[in-house]
Amino acid sequence: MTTLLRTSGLGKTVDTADGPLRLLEDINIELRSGERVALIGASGSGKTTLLGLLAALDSPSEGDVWIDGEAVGPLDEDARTALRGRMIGFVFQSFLLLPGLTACENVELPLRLAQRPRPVERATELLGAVGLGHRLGHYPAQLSGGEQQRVALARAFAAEPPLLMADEPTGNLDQATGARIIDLLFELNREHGTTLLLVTHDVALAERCDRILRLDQGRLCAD
Amino acid sequence: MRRLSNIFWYAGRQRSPAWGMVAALAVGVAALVAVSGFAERVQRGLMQGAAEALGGDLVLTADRPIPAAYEETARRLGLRTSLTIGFPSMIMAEGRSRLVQVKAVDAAYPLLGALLADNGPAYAPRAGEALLAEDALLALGLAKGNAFRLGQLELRAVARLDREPDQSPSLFSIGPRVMIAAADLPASGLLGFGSRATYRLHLAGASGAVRDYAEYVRQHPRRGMRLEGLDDARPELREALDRAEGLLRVSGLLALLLAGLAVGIGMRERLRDQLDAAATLRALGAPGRFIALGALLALLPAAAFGSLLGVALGYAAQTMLPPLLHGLLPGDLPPPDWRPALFGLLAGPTIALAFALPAILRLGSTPVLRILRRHLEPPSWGQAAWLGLALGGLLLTALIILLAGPTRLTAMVLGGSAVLALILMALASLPLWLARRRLLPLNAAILGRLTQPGQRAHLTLTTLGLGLMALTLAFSLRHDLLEGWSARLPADAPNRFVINLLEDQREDFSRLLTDAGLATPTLLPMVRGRLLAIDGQPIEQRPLGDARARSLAEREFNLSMAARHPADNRIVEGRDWRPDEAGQPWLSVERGLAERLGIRTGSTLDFEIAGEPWRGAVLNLREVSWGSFNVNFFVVTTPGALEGQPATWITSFHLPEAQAALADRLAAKLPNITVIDTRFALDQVREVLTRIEQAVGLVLGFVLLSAWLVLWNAAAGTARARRHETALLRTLGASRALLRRQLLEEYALLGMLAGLLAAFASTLISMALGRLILDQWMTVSTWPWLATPLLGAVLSATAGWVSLRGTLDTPPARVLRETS
Repeated sequence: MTTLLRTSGLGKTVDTADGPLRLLEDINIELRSGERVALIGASGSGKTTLLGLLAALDSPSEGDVWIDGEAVGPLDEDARTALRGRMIGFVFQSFLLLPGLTACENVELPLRLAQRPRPVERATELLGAVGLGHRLGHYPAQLSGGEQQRVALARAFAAEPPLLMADEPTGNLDQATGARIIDLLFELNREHGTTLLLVTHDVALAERCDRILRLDQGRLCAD
Repeated sequence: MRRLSNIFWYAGRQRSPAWGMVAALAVGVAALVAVSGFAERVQRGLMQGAAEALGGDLVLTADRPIPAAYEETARRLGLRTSLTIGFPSMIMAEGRSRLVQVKAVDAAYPLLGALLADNGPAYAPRAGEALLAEDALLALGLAKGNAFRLGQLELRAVARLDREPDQSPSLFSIGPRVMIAAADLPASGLLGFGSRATYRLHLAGASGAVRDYAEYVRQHPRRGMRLEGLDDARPELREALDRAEGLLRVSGLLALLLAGLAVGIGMRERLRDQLDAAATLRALGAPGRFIALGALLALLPAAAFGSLLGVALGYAAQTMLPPLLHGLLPGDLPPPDWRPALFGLLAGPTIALAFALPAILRLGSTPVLRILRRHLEPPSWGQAAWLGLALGGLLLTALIILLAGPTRLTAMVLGGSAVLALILMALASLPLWLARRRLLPLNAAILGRLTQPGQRAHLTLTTLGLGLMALTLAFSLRHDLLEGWSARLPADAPNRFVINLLEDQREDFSRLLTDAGLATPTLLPMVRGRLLAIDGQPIEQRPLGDARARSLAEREFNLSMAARHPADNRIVEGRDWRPDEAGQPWLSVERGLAERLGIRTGSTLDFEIAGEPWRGAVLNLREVSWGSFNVNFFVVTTPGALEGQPATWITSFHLPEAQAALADRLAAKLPNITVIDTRFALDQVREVLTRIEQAVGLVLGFVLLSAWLVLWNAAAGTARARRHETALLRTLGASRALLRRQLLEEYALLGMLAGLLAAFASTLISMALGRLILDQWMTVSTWPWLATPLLGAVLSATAGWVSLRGTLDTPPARVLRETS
């Protein structure tokens, strides 16, 4: 398997009123193509900070991240945006659907941004695959939490990114709905052969992945 | 291409901006369209009236017959022409005689307007016929149909001459007016060598041909020949209307700027709700410009709709303005044309864009990390915000220059607004600083809200302060300006001019007036002279800027002598003469004339007076208030300097209505003098002032509405946060009545604080504006300090209540579920 993402000596320090605060220190990770990896840790352990760095959303204080062999550090914001659009799909705890767009349009969005042909047909197909073929024209506010997260899943897979990052995707859902969403996530992941990085505090869920990364006070404990 | 279509796709799916913004824009554009449309129509109406008063679009005047080539050229250019010849002469009938002003007209007369005789429309007299003014008929005891002699002619009085469209109250019409046919002139034997006739070729036609003709005359100049255009007409009315137009335009601009402010605030608050969407878009691979462009395109339909609505409202408002000027302009106001609509359609979206750009570009710079850390916001003063401010500022500057022209007033409105915004921002920090230190005697909830992070109270105070300041300023300008005008036109302003009074008649004249219980008149000597050279350079060789300058230089000047200048004259350059300098050939020259002819203090002016040369040196330049109805001169010298020169005397005085018959007694007793009645012109200017006050009041209504809409938009932007907070407070047991009181108190307090800031700033600026634009110091009034905070409190509380009362009604459970 080829390496899709890797970090070397990754660290993040922020300035606070009480002096510099070290959030992450010497993180070395390698994610291989098609792999499912869970990132777990207690609140404040640095999970979100690390996810931000790995997804090229934030810049590290030390070290660097390589995505598909390309170092993120030297890229400007436009190049990072293009890299994210090409390589990474996201699923968030709070869904982050655009409220002004219908379910179908939300899924069309990444396809249009990547200038893919026939965005409407593809979005319709994907929403059908997550069981929302009858909800195409509904706005997020007209959908339940589970339905919204299914739209978010369809959107994440729409542009067929090689890497999917999911941040507590079931955090806002009840247990039964959450379980169905995770099943769907793993199923889509298998179908599309995507590399999955799943950030969670649910150990049981983490254990369904191929590998677990544990963060503790900004340091990686075991790989 | 596909990327562009995707941006349009995205923009098309954005919620359009709120109705508050559309409403604000509609009101701002309506004010602009109403004001500029109205001003433009008044200008056109005035031009139309001016053309009638002049007797054509152009009048070529000469003191000897106009060569045929000038008339032929006019005909070739497609202009209509009419020739009139005016001269003083005696008429005689049944042993009585009278000095009259004769006007010989051709069949084409009048080119514009209507000739009135015997209370109805009349035609130009035919050969053998004459129209006589009432005083000429009375003087000779003539009735309609009677014959009288003029030179070698015998003419028949066919009607009483009531009004010539091109008759202005000229100082040099010697006596009552008599109109005859030009065809009779050769037989009269009156126009021989040395006769003092004025030949006037009236021309009317298409503006291009008029311009070409003016150019032809410029290229073929002749001594004693001058061309008068429309700019020369009705100076006393023009001054009042020009000032009124300036005031209306500033008010219109204020309304538009306030509308822009409302859109800016509305966008800022609205785009705050779109930060999550922007961060998500960036995470999905959309560059910042996609987001900014999307927001921009989403704004355009609302801007276009608001502007269209504004244009429609503006045209509707225009129909309310003309009745205010009814009867003041000759004829009806011309119908509205399309230009103000184009202005409105251009100005609306531009102003919306200028004020929305900072917020839009800031949205484009939303940190993508916000998808993980929801508290992150784009920097308030980051690169994007500065770029937005710079671009918005440029757009605004371009728009204002386009609308108001690159004038000093424009620069002041622009520069002044920017400086005041900064001053108000600084001033607004003071009450907030006091609140933070709990130094204001207010309840904790309101203090807490004032000092909340995010600087929302600061923004509200600043913008509300700006809005109120604009309003106070407009009101105080209107108040002070019109007071200033009224003071210059007191009830006893002169309504009669008397000219041609001779040296030895001065005593009799003064006695006639004092016997009638009137004040002793100030009689001023008047010596006629032709300007030959400035600083030794003959007038013919001087490069005079325009036709008006040349005609000013070439006409005969009325020189006067005075120990001191009238109270409404003001020396603007140089010094006044001292009593011991009487007899010195010092000159005081009117500033406008000096500017046109290139005369400075220290210049020497050579005149020809009664055939003899006379030289004087300019000691000062003087500003004259031509609208005051007092006697004023372009050139004045010291007492005694023109001793021995042939002089007549002139004066103006106020004749009460009850004593109107005195004018006839004066004319009977001193038959050579001419009494000119200026009541009509005076009443007209007074009337204009009153109507202008009403028109300005109407436009200020727009400014007030705009200011209120700014507040409404600002308050509406906080609805989401307030709904959440209200829900929390209600859950904790706060009653609806308590929350309602707090809402009203908070907004009233903000309004009051902003009102105080506005009163302070507007006092400063109205003093500066009055000095710089209106050339008068304005008195510092106390009313803004009382009225503005009160008005601020009322406006703010109502705007807060209207836009936020809904937040008190939403069930807390629903709000908390929505926002969790």
